[in-house]
Amino acid sequence: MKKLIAVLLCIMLALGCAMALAEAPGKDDYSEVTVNGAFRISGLTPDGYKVESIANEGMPILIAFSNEDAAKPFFTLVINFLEDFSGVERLNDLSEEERKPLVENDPTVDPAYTVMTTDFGTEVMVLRSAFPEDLDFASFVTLYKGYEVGLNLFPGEAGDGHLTEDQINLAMKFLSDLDFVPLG
Amino acid sequence: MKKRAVLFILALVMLTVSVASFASAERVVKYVYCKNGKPLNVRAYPDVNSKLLGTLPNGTAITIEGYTSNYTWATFVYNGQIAYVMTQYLVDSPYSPTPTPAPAPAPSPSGDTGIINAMENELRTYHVVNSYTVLAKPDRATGWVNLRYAPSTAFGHAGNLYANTQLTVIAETTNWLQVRRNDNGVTGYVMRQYTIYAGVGAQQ
Repeated sequence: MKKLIAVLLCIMLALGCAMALAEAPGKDDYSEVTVNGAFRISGLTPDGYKVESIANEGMPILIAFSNEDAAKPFFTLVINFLEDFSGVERLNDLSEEERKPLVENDPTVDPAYTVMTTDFGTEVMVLRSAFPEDLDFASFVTLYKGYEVGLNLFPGEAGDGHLTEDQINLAMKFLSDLDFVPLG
Repeated sequence: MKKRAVLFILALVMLTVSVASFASAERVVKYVYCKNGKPLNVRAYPDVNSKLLGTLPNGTAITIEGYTSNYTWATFVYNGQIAYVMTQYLVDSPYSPTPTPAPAPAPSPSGDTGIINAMENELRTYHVVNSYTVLAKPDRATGWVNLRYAPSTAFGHAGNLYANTQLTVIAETTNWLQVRRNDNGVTGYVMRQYTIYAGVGAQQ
């Protein structure tokens, strides 16, 4: 009887675990974010920035970074699983045609995106706002193990509403320094 | 005695699972749409690592029985058993995934007057509705939908709504919804084409 109850309790625990989509990182501990037990992202928060919030109840996982200096840009790291790209290891594995669905149909994005490569050899699509006079932004999009990883950069509240090349380079450096560590 | 205890615990397990899994009991029909044309994976549990039960091609209609509490997954009956698909691949109507491009916020030929007239026309259709829940549905998986202070792309941003952000609709105009974010109570306007219906009444 005790065994039966123990087995059933185990089932309950297992079901609970299955529903938890991502492990909960501490609010200030951004250095390692584990995604669904599939991989871990580690990186350094840029100087002057702090992790403002982490939302990882389901998908997408959202990590927001802010700077006390309101003139500095703020950015978000967003991770979302793509069923239609499950099985794709990296963005590098996709042809230009296969990448199009990741960005097309978004009228706020300039369709003429560029591609950069991080120090770890990961290709990243760099998207810019189609209407910078409305909302200037830069989005850096890549794929890893079926997950879309996007870094979205926005001008600071106290700025002139536009991103500078230096700020974009800072975001590229941040993304370039991210390390994707497979688990399991 | 043993049987009774086992049945009681099983009932408890089922209750726990159903409470955790269903955020809405309202049944609505949704349609499958994957941008790259691939069929959508159907899973046994609301987990991307769970067993694959099958796939559904674009345009397939499914009757949603409920959502996980974070709206990441929708549940439905597939071949006689409960199954799950990711909400981000569902649309409200068949083969209408591509929204009409948002009007450019560039200045109109008549300047500010044109913008104000356009917003006035929009506000003429303003009407309060019985509250219902929608989810933000950006075009890109890691993109966002703009929450604005007024029903016009010429007005400032009240925030970025990432995928599956839960919103309670307060009022409607022709192209916009006046909404309140369920997570922080901030209100504003969102273009209705970037939302997906998720049920009647305000959700927690």
